[in-house]
Amino acid sequence: MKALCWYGTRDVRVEEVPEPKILASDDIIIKTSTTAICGSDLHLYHGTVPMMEKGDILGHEFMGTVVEKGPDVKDLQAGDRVIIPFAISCGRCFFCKREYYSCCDNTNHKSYYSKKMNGDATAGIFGYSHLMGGYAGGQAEYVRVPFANVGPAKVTSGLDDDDLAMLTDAFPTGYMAAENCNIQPGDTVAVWGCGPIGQFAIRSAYLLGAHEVIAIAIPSPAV
Amino acid sequence: MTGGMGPDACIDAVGYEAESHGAVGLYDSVKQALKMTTDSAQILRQVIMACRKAGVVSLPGVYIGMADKVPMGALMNKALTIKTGQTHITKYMRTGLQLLKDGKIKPSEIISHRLPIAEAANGYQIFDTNKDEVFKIVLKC
Repeated sequence: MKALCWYGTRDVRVEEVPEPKILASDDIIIKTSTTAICGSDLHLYHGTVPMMEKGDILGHEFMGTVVEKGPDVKDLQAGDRVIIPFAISCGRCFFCKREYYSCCDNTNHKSYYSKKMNGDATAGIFGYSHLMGGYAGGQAEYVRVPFANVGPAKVTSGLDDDDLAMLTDAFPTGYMAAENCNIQPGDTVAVWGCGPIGQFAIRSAYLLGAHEVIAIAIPSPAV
Repeated sequence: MTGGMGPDACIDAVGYEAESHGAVGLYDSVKQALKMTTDSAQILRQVIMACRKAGVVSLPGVYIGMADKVPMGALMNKALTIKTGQTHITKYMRTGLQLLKDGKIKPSEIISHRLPIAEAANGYQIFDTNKDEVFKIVLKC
């Protein structure tokens, strides 16, 4: 299959690599339909994230169709269209039970290094270095998705791929940033940065009742 | 706009690779180059200084390591609350899905480029160099 592989600072290549296999009984394999490049992928591209290895497949914003599943996967079938959260959560640890899914205790197997750096490890993230679990990423034609009973959400055919792909990281990240502001009627929220996350934070702040949003950015043609 | 009080909440949607400007920016760049610090605190300093007293500073980030010269005095004395974290995406993806189904959002409006997966490396280069009015790139398999 084709996959986008990391080789070093500003060196990524599309290569033919072996397709993923089911490794655990609650894994699924999806055939990717749409995947996005995130601003945080540029951190990998710039070589500023530790514990990258040559050949690592990047990408954590992706969706597609289930092609294979392990015996313990309950509600998904081959052929189902699914969107996949960028972070992997077990659904049953202390943190997942409290809906702090990015703090999952069970999905970052190489967490020793993370514990050294941060005092504790957070959840594994697809295609985001061995510090974040070393999972093969979504910028590939096929992806193995572990803990498939927890993260993936089934979606109907009426919704557009391009809208759905934005729900796997970018939109919710802007939304949570706005929700964290505890917005009250009449509030003014200021947002620094008008990239995708900033744009979605602005939109979400209004959805959550902000009276006014101030956007602050260095002018660029796209903004 | 805020009656001189400052915003009720400030969101830093830039993070640790913030571009450096001015004398303090030069200081950050030098320390980053010497590996004496990892994260640019340019925007972090601004959101803390700008936020109104008893307001909220929300940091989607991303931050990865050590940041230098964070105005702790302002943070403490203005009684600010910091809320941050990687997105609890398993929950918030579903919030987004409901908003999409309800017609409240159209998130694809930010997409500027659609490329086949075979051109993914080119996509990174376009995104990195800010070419062609790039904003968000999706790859099709």
